[in-house]
Amino acid sequence: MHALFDFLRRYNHIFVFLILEVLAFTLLFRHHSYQSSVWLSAANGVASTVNGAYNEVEQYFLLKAVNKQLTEENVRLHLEHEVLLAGIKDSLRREQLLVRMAERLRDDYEMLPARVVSSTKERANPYLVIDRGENDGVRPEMGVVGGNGIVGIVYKTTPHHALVIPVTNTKSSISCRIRGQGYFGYLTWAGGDLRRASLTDIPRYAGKMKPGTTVETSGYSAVFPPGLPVGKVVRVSNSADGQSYTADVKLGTDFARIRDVMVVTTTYKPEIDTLRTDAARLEQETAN
Amino acid sequence: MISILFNRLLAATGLFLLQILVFNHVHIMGYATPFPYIFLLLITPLNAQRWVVILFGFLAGLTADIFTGTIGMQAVAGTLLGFVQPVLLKYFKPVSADEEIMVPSSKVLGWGAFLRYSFTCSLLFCAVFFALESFDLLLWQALLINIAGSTVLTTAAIVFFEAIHGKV
Repeated sequence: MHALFDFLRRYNHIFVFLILEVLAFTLLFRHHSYQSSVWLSAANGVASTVNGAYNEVEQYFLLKAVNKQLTEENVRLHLEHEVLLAGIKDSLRREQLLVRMAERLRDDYEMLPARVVSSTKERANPYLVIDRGENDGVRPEMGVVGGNGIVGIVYKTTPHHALVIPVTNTKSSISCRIRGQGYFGYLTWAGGDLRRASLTDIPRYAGKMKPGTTVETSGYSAVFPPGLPVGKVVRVSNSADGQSYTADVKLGTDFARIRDVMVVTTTYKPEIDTLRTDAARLEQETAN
Repeated sequence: MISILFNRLLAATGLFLLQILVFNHVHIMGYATPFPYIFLLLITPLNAQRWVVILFGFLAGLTADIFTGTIGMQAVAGTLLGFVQPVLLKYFKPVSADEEIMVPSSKVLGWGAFLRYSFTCSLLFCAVFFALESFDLLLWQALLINIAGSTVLTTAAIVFFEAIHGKV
């Protein structure tokens, strides 16, 4: 403290000098507008330069946070984009499917909405239970379809429920064809992957089909109307006996997550069945 | 002591009157203006309190400013001159001179040293004053002519007053 006072006493003239100079400059700038304006603009220029430099440095330090924020936003937008894209694709496909279904089913088939209430996908031969039964007009041998393709065939019915054997059951065998070609085979399931089935007995003269070709129902069995999508061809190989092709099919329906389905009822099924029985009897008689 | 102070005060009043009434209106060829009143600052003794010299430089400059309408400019230059006057005096004084009681004059310093001393002080004062007056370097040639002409005139006036002062 003493040293400080000593310092102030010894160099008091410097403080007097500085104070008086500041006073003189203040007077100068207050009384002379030209000098004042030059001074102010120069001071403003210096201030803005300093502020700009400071701002740039600050911005640089903020870059990390900004970058993180941008990355998060990017990921979010990416996910959103994927979801929206999938939604658009899905809705387009559903729309097409529903339009086609509506066209095909308008005359011959009726659709009965139902909900899957129980499924045993863990078993080797899974089955589904839907909440529609005899009272709703559901009969055995009726087809069941979902939004992405066929689901299975009704096997047994109770007054309020029905048991459905899905495509992913070794007992299931549904007549299907390759879209645009007309050759048909039987869709079977050998167990394992719930989204993989096989289309067997495709005649060799049908030629090899490309992976990605759509497999649809043929309509021959009268269980399903023709043209309902089943899945897409993944791989084509020769059958065990070498007489036909077997195609691996990726099923459109995800049986692990199935919920809303439709039961297909047709007014013509009894007629077709009668004709079939007649044909079988005729064949038997001829054989005899 | 009192007579010296009285003499100084009289000299100061006379110098300021001369400055205000005569020298401020001198613009030789539109440029050079002498400021001989800084002679009062130059003859301040070396043993004077430094803050007193600075304050005196400020007040002298401000007084001149008020009558010339250049408020602040001569005050800035005068304050600076008051700050550096003792330093310059120490630089120009002969080695043999007694620092305690030395009053700067042509007798003590010798005419050569006194001339250089007053020229340096005039140059400093004029440079600061005209730099503040123009406040930019756009007309730097005019600024240099102003500084040079005024420095020469101021130095000449100081030498003239010193010659009278020495005889009194």
